[in-house]
Amino acid sequence: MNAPDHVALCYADDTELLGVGVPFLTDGLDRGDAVLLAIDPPRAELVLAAVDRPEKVTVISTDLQYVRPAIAIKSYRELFARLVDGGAGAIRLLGEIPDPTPAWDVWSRYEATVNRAYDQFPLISMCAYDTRTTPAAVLADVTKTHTLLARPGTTQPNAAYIHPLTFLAARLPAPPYPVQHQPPAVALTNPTPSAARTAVTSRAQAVLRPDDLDDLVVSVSEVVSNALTHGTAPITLTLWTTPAAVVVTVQDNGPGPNNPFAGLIPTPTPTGGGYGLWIAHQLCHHVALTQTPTTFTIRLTMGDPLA
Amino acid sequence: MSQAPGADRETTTGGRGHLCWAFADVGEFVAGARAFLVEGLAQGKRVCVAAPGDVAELGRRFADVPGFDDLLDRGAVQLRSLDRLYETDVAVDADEQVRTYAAETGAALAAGFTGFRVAVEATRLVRTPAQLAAFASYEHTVDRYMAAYPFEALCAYSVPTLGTEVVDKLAGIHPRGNVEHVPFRLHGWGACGAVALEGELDLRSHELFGWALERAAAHWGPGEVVVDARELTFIDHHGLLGLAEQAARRGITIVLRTRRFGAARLVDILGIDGVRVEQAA
Repeated sequence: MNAPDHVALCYADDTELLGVGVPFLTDGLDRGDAVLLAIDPPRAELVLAAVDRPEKVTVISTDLQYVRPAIAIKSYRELFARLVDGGAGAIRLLGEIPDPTPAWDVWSRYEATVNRAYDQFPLISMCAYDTRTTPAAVLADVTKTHTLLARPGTTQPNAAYIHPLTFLAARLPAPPYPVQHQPPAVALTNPTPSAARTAVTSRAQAVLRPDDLDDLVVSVSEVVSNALTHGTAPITLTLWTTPAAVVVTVQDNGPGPNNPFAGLIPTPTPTGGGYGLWIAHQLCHHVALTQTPTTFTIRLTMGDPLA
Repeated sequence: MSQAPGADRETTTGGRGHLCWAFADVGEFVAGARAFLVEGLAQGKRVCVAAPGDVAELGRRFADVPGFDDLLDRGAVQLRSLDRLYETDVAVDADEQVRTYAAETGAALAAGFTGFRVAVEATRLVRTPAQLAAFASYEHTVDRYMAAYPFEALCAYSVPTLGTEVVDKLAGIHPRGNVEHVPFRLHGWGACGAVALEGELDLRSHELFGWALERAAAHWGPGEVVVDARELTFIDHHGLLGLAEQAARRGITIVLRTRRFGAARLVDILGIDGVRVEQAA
């Protein structure tokens, strides 16, 4: 199937949001599409109040849907599959990521991955961004990652759109957290997954809730296993703690995965591989990948290191 | 291989008195068997030692056990040569072997002993892949018998003869033993068909666990199979997908009892149907 239509709606006020969003949804209802709305509750109410048949619109909780990119993709793919199985011929989604700016490094990956992640579904996805609260740098990425631009009265091909692979290759690495400039609590060279788990458990259990701790331990174990299996030695594991967070980096001396969507979409192999990085993206609060020709670094964060 | 067999508290609790003893030479076999024998005698059990070779020669190796001749006379110690029994490469019949040991356990109890334990130099039983597969099946079956009856066994395997790879496979399907680098244990646990999974499952155990699981799961089902994983400190997604594959192929549901959160989270995000995780205290 072709890539889904991926429309950016950069609106300056409610009038613009409604002026584009309402006809978009109404058109879908007229066609008998499955129509989804995933924007914050006050604006969702405005939109629904302006739509002819609001009871036909499925409202999605943004808090649950947009926890983080890998979860959003998994959740949407499951939802779209159910809708198609249920007979939907086409799906329309009007969505707005709540406050994407703090984790824009990963949400920008999400926007670039959407076309690939949903390419088996008959989807038109419209992503709303409030230009009053969204930084210019984020808006610049928005225009690079959406194939179409919507304005009141018109939706046009986006001349500024660039291929996702080009966009992803040009992204800057995530800046280090301040704590990463401090001496680490743990530094291991070529750890076994078991040694990595032990180190994480001993240092992180004073900081994290038990379920977050287990999630981090699982993620680190998977990432270290990947490095041992696919990476190039030496492999280094470094861990920092703050009062509210644990940050772990795992670095090897290989080029890292050649799949630019690694971690956001599972890539299962017959032997049961291909899930490790995806699992880390599902479980950790933030994941940053940094690739150079001779190093691949995964940074896993649990909690808020800036708090 | 420094740990004496049966040294910890779980020796006599049901199902755990089943050891894998890897040895490099006859001296190591005898050391393991002797400790197992002495411990059993102290618990009032009848102990049988079975090994290839001449019985008189075997006896001389244990002659320094205090009162050895007397123990032989009153049947507290039995010595057997496996030479005649295992001349061929015939594979062990699991159910038949368990029936034999059940009869011997009954006889030991009838003679006034508190139980029966056997130390077997089993190298010759697992030399071919077919023998190994049959023996793995037997190990899983006999675990269940041991969980309910006062029968225990030390299975000794020659590493130089069999190779590390084969002995590691065997170590993974015994509740205990002296092969400490095998990180997990998958074994029968209780006559009702429960299974125990202990240790940890990660990169180091992918191949070994796949082999052990394939052998063990042949005995599972129908319906729900409880895997007691309270002593499993870690399972990665490979381990869970392995369980899921068995569940799907055999039409069973695997109930994984664990103290950790990780397994439930992975089952949830991977959308695994055939494995249900139960949080244990």
